[in-house]
Amino acid sequence: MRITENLKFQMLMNTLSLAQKNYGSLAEKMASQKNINRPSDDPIGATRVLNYRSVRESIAQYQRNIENANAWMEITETKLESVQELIAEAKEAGLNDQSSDTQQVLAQTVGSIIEELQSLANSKFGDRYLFSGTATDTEPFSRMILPVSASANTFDGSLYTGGTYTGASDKTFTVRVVNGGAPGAATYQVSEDGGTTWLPDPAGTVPVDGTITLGDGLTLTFVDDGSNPLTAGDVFTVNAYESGTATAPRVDDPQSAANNAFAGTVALDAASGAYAGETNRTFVVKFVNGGGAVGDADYQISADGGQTWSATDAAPWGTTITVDSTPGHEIVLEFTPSGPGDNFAENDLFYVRVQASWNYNGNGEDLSVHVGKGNTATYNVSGEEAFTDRGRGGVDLFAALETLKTALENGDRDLVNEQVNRLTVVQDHIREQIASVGARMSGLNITKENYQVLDEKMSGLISDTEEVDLEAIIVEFQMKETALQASYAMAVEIGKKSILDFLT
Amino acid sequence: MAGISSIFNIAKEALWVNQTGINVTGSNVANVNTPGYSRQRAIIGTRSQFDVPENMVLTGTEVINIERLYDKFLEFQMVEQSDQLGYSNERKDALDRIEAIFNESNGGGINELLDQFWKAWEDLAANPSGQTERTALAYASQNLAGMFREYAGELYSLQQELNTGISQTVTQLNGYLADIADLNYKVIYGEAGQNNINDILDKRSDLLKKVSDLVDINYVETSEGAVNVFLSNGIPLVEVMRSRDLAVQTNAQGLYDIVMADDPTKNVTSAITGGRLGGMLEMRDTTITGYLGDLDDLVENIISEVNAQHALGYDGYGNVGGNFFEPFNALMGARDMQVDASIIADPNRIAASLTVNDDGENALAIGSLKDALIMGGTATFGDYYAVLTGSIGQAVAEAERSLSHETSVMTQLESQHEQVSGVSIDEEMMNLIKFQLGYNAAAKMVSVAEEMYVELLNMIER
Repeated sequence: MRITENLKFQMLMNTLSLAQKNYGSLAEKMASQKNINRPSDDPIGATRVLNYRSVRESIAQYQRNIENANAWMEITETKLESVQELIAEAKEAGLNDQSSDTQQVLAQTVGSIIEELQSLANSKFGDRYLFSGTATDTEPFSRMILPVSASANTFDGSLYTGGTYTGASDKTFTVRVVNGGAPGAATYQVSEDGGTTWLPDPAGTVPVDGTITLGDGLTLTFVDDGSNPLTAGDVFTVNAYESGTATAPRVDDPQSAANNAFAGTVALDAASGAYAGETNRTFVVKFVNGGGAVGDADYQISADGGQTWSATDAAPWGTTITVDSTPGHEIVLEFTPSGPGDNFAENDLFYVRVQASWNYNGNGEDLSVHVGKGNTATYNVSGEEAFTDRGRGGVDLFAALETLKTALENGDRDLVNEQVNRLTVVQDHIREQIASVGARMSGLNITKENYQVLDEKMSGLISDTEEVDLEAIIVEFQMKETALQASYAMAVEIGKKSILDFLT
Repeated sequence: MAGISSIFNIAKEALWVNQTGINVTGSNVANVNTPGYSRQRAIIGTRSQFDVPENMVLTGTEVINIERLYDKFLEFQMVEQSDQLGYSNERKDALDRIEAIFNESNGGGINELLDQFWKAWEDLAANPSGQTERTALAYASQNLAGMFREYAGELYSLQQELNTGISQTVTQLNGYLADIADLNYKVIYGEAGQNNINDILDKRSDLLKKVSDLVDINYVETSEGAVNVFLSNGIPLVEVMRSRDLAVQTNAQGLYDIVMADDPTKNVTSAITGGRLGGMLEMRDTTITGYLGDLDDLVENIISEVNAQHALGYDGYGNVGGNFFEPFNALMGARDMQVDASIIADPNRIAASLTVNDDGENALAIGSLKDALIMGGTATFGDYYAVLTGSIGQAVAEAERSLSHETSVMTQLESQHEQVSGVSIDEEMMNLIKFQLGYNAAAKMVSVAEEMYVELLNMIER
């Protein structure tokens, strides 16, 4: 082989640049402590690392979700346990067979228990109400203005109060039936002073719709749905509280979504009745097919807050749309445009919240979070489930307590005993809830521990894939350094010697 | 019988030949570091002295030729290898830059922002009315969209850069082609005129390699010594003393096509598959377009899936969910991914709930898209992106391997070429000594002949 000058230097250059390249890449690995500094260093490894990192991010999120859910459930558990204690106290008050003087004191005790329970049921986690289902911005419970039927009464229909109490202080209304009969025939009188004076005098007739006026804005409605009608001598007590709310089913004023094109007003049509359903609901009207004018635009109706929709109704509709067509209890919205040309646009929304006949303002929906891929966990107990008779409980806690209080005030022993029994049912039910919360928490804790193990594994996999074995790399680095030094030494030596040194 | 004068004659020839030998050695030594220089050698032959009778031994010398040591076949291989090397170089350069765009070894790229985006939805699901969560989601979404814009934008500007590079390379190529045509002229007339054209041939070889570095060519040497250069599809670029220029012409995609300058309807883009131009064209038209297409695909699916689910929900005001991202812009693709202006202006417009009651279920549903097999029905968004990154890494690693292979083949060829054509100082020094010795000996002959003359003349005088 003929070795030329260029060849000699080229070979040297190649050796040097190879040594430099190896040296440089090792130096990079040492500095970054990573084997993979760019995808091409190990394309498959780089792809895996990205996946592992995403899995770790997911795990972190699931763990955070579980922690949040557990924190929520721990508070729920504590609150429910306090509720149990208070119910036990209320029961004790009911079982305390004392003179009528003591009973007034006991009634007051029950009153303060109700207030405490109410603030427990309105507890928040952060700024979200624990017990209002998914309506976490809505305070779930307000004090009931509950009509109580004396245990000796013959009437066995249902009752509820309506209107808004305008009185300046708490007050007790007593209603007695003077002449029995169906609404339209029976007569009644009301006393606001514990039975001293009775008005109207002579007794008034219960109107056909069963609703009589108590005073201070309140009404009382008799619903003759039992077997026995109003009977002379029947007595009803209504404790009205300043901050209390009537128990009649309510239909809120309809609302228009902020973004609607329609600038006119929406209101309940006079044809609307009370809500007759069993659960709190939000009815929604949505305009579709590009909207259109009042009376003409196509629309859909949802009875579950907008999750599922009826078929599109394209028939002309005048000015009103019926969202709930329960006979006798229709809920009808009336639309009034602000002027000519005030039309609906696609997706204009109008909704009306309705409340069944009790004092719960939340809903029965579940709050849930992701605790795994495609795996959600419910972490709340709705107030409906825990404290009302709409869930599986069967007894409304606050109605039982309000009745107990009134019964104690009225010295109605039978009614008191009945309420004590109902409270026992509530206790059992809440105990179940506590157990269910505890079971869910321990389930989530196991999941969380599994995630910890998985996370460690993932982080191990990541470091196996992309992190360097420092000792090995230091040894290798020293080897390459030696090679580089040798190359330099050789380069200098080779340049030095030539035939010219020997020519004289 | 030959006279003393013929001794002079032979000595003169020997002096001349050895001096030429030293001159050639001088040229070689002078050009020891000149790239493209082929070492030369004086071919020395005998010269019969015709005025001498047959029985007399009297043979002179002459330089028959100054030979250029050179292997035509090797040159052919090197020219061919140049286009492979140029092509690999260009691919490697461009892919390195693409890889730098997609490098997520230290996090902070699309993969991480995508994760943060989904996490923000999960957080919002846990607290649907929370302003902090809504604002955090709006920011996470803007960061994600911004990162997609950045990646796609960088790919796009790399594509534009390559496009400009193509036009510049064509100009450079035209210059080389004109030079080759010019050198062809010099070779033809130089050879006819018996001038030494070795350095012209060296220059032309060098130019052929430079042209081949830019574009894949074929060439043939004609009998008169010219080289004719053709594109791979047979279109001539240099014919003897005439070169044909290439030109660029903007096509429907706004990128340059390569056409013949004298006939712009003749599109030769597809004929160029090697050399730097071939590399640039492939990067510009296939590789980058492909990666941009993948990003567009990902962005289009994210936008359509998120928007579709978003429209099923209700915002903080009870409105039907509007667009979360601005609808996919088919013209700009990922370069124009934007969060809808209404969401940026007011995060309460994020439709987190499936009912008008702020339940957070829609945020949960959108968060679930993270694990949905949407891309081609087989991959999640994250998988798809990770695979894209991996395939870029794969392409870079492959380009690096092929570049190092092509380089080592070239190095091998170059060292073979060096072995034939390179200058060895040792050899030249030995030649120097050899010719110096010859020269000295010839000079001695002159002085001997001179002494002989003097002796002869003295004989006459006496």
